[in-house]
Amino acid sequence: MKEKKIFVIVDIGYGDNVKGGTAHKVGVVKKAHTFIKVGGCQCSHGVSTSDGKNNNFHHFGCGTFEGSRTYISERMVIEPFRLLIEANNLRDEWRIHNIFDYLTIDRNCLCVTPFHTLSSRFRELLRKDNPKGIVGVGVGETLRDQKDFPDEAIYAKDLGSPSLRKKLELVRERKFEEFKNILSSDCNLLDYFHKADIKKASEFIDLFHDGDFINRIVDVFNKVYSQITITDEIYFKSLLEKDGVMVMESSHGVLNDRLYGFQPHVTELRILPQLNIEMLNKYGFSGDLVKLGTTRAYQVRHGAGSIVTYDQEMTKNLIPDGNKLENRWQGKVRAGALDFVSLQYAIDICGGPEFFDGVSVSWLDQIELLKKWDICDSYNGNNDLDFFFPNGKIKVYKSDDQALIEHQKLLTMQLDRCTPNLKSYDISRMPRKSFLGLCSSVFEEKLKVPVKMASFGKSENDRILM
Amino acid sequence: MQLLGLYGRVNFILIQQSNFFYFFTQLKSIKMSRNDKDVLTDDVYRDFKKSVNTDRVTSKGQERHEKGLGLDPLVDPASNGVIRRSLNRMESEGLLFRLVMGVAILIEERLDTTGSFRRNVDIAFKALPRAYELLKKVLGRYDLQMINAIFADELDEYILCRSHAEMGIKIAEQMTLMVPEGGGKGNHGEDPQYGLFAGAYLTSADINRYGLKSYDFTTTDEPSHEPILKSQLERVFGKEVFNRVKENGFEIDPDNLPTVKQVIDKLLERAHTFVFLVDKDSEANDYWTTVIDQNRIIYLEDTLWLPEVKAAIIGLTEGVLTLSDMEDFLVNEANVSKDVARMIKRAVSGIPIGAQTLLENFDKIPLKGDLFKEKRDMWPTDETPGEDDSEEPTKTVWL
Repeated sequence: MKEKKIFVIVDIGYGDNVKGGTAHKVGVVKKAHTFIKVGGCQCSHGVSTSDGKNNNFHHFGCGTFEGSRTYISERMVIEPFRLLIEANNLRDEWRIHNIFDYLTIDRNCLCVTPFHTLSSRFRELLRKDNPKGIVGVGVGETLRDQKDFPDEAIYAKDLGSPSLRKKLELVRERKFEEFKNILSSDCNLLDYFHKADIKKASEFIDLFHDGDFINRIVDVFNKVYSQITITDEIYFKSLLEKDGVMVMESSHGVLNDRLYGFQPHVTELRILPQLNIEMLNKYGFSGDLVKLGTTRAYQVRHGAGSIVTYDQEMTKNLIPDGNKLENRWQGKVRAGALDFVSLQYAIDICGGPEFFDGVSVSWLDQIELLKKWDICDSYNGNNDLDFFFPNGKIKVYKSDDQALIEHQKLLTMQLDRCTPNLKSYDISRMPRKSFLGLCSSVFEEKLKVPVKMASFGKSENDRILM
Repeated sequence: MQLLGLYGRVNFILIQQSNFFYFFTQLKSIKMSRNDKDVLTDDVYRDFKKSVNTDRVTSKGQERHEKGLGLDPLVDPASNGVIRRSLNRMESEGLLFRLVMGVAILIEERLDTTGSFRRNVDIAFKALPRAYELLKKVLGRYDLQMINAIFADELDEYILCRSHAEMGIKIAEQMTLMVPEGGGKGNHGEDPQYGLFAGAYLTSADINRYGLKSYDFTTTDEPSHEPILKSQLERVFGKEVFNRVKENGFEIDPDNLPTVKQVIDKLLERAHTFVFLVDKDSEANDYWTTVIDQNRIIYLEDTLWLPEVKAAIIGLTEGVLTLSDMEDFLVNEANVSKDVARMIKRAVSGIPIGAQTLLENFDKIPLKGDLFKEKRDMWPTDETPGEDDSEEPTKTVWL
C-alpha cells in the first residue's frame, strides 16, 4: 500500500530546538520527496550529515542534501537577497549544481524588502535598553505592513513584474516618512541611539539615502524571479495528492507565537501547527499527518524574553560558544533546566497531548557530560489563578486577539517573577539505554506524549528512533 | 548579518569586507544555470569571452582588489567552508537518483603567477576550450570538474587564489576573478606549498571514495619555501583552517606542521600529482627532486603546451593512451605538429603509466545514467525508477 503522509515538525519551545536535525532525520528515514516550508526565512535550521556536511537552511528544506525538493508555501515569508545567497552557498560550497531545480515557491508568498529589514533594525536600535529581541531580517515589519498597507505588499509573483519598482518606491517613501526625524540631515543621532549603535544606524541611513539602491534591489529581485519556479494553488494541490512522504518545517517555536507566545518577545508570525494543517486541509490533503514536537533535553532561548529556568552555569557548560552566537539583534543565548511547565503550555496551545504523535528530544549527549539531568516541573510564585491553574500549569487564555495579547503581556510579567522548582536526576553511572528509558518515562509522565526520537549528537546517525 | 554585507555580497562569509555595489556587478556577470548539466562548449565560452577583457582576463578580480574588497569568495581559499568538493551530480528520478554525467573526476591545476609567469592565467584562459576538449577525450566516462589555482610569494598580498571544483563556463568565470600580482619578490622561491596543502587536506573528491585518484598539477620555475607556517595557513584559509582539516578527515598538529614533502606524500594518496618545471637547469630542479619522485616532474620549455601535456599524462595514467599511440593522438586530436608531439612524448614518457588502471574499482565505477537508491550512494541499484508500489514492509514502521 502506498503511503501518503506529512510529518509536521513543531518546536515546542522558543526556537533553537533542533527542528533542522529532526526534520532531516525524518526525511532520511522516510525518503521524503518534498519539504514544505512555513513561517519566516529568518529561521536557521541546522543540518549535520553523517558524511560531513553542515549547513544552516533558511529558505531551502532540510532534506536538500538528500535530494528532497523544497516547496515554499503561501504561509512562508521569504527574503530574495538571502534566498540568492543561500542558493549560491549551496551551489558553491555543497556542489548542488542545479539548486534552483529543487525549489518551487507559491506565487502568494510574501517578500521582505531591504527597507523592511532596515526599518526593523532601526526600531530595535531605538529601543535601546529594552530590546524586543529580533533576528533582524524584517519579517515582522513586512507582515505588519502587509496588514496595514496591503496594496504595497510584494509577493513572489511580483518579483519580475513591471509594478515591482513602483511598489518598492512606495515602501521606501513610507519608511522615509516613518523615520523622517532620523533620516533628516540635521538629526543628532545621539538623541535617538546608543553611542555604540551610531555606526550601524549611520550605515542604514546611508542606504536609505542611496539613490541607486532601488535599482539594485530591482535587479536582484528580477534575478531571483528568473531563477525560481513560481507555482499556484493547482501545483500545491497536485503536490498534496502525490504519494509518498513530505515534511513540514516551520520557523520559530510555538512559544514565540504572535498571540499565544509570551508577549512582547514574540514574532509577528503565527506559529501554531494547527494553522499550517488548516492550509493543508484547504488545499485538499487527504493523507495522514504525523505531528512531532521537538525540544532539547534542556531549555534554551536565543534572545530577549522569559526563561524561568535560566542558569548561568548551565549556559556556560551547554553552550560554550554562546558568546559567538550573541549579536545586537537577538542578544544572548541562555540555557537552563528543561522546563516542563512551559513545555506543557506549548503542548496545550497546540491542542493538547492528543495532538502530538511524539516528541523528539535532542542533545542528550550534552546532558550526559553534565552527569545530571535537571528538570523543572513546577514554579514558585505562580499563585495568580488568572494565569495559572491550582496545580501550577499555565492557563491557555482564549479571547479576541487584542485581549489575548494584553493577557499574554501580563502573563509574561508573572513568569518573570516565578522561580523554578528543580528536580535533578543523577545519570553519572547510568548506561545510555537507561538514560533513554528515564527520559521517555519523564516525558510520558509530564507531557503525556511519547518520545519517538532521541539524539546523542548532530548527525542523522546519532538520532535514535523509538 | 551586517546589512552592507548582505546588500554588497553574494557570499555570507566575507561580508565584513563588503561593498554593496559589488553584489550587483557580480550578479550581472554570473548566471546561475537553472539546470547546470552543461559542459563547457565553444559557444558558451565564446559568449562569455565577449564580456572579458582578453588583454587581461583577470581585470575583474584586479578591480575588486584595487577597490580594497579583497578576493572574490569564489576564488578565496578561505571562503565557502574552505574545503573544495568535487561531487557526483545526481538527479532524482522517481524514488531513485540518476548519475547525470558519470563519476566526478577532479583536476586541480596550480599555476605560478610570479615574475615572468604573470600572464599564466591569460594563457590558461585562452587555452581553456582546447584544454577542456582534450581532457574530455581522455576522461570520457567521467564528469570532468576542475579547480584552478594560482600561487605567489608569501610577501605578496595573496599567496593563493583557489576556485571551486567547477564544470562548464564557471571554470572560465572563476579564472577571471583571480588576482595574479606578478610579484615574486626575488627571494629564492615562491609559495606553492599552501596550494599543495589545500590539495592534500582541504579537498574532498568523490573519485577518492571509489579508491581512484584525481589529478593535481603544479607549474612553476622556482623552489618552494619551507617550512609551512601556521600563521600563513591561517592567513590563506582563515582561523578555522585546522577545524576544516579535521572536518575533512585529517589530523594535523598546528604546532607540528608537515613539511612540503610530507604534504606532497599526502597529496599523492588521493591524486596523481605532477610538477611542471619550466626551467630544467634551475635550482628549482634541485629542490623539487627532493620532495617528489623524479618521474613526477615534467620539464617544459614554456607553458604553451600545458593542455596537451596534461591530456597526455592523464591519457597514459588512465590507460586511454599508450606511448606508441600518443603522437598520433596529439597530432590528430590536438592538432599539434609532429615535432611538438614528439617533444611532449619525451617529456611525459617517464611517468607511472597506467597508474589509475591499477587501482581497485577502476573498471567498476558507475557510469552516466546509472540509478542509485540514495543520493550519496556509491554504487548503483538494480531497481527501476518507477513509483514505489511495493507492499508495506511487515516490520514495525516508525510513525
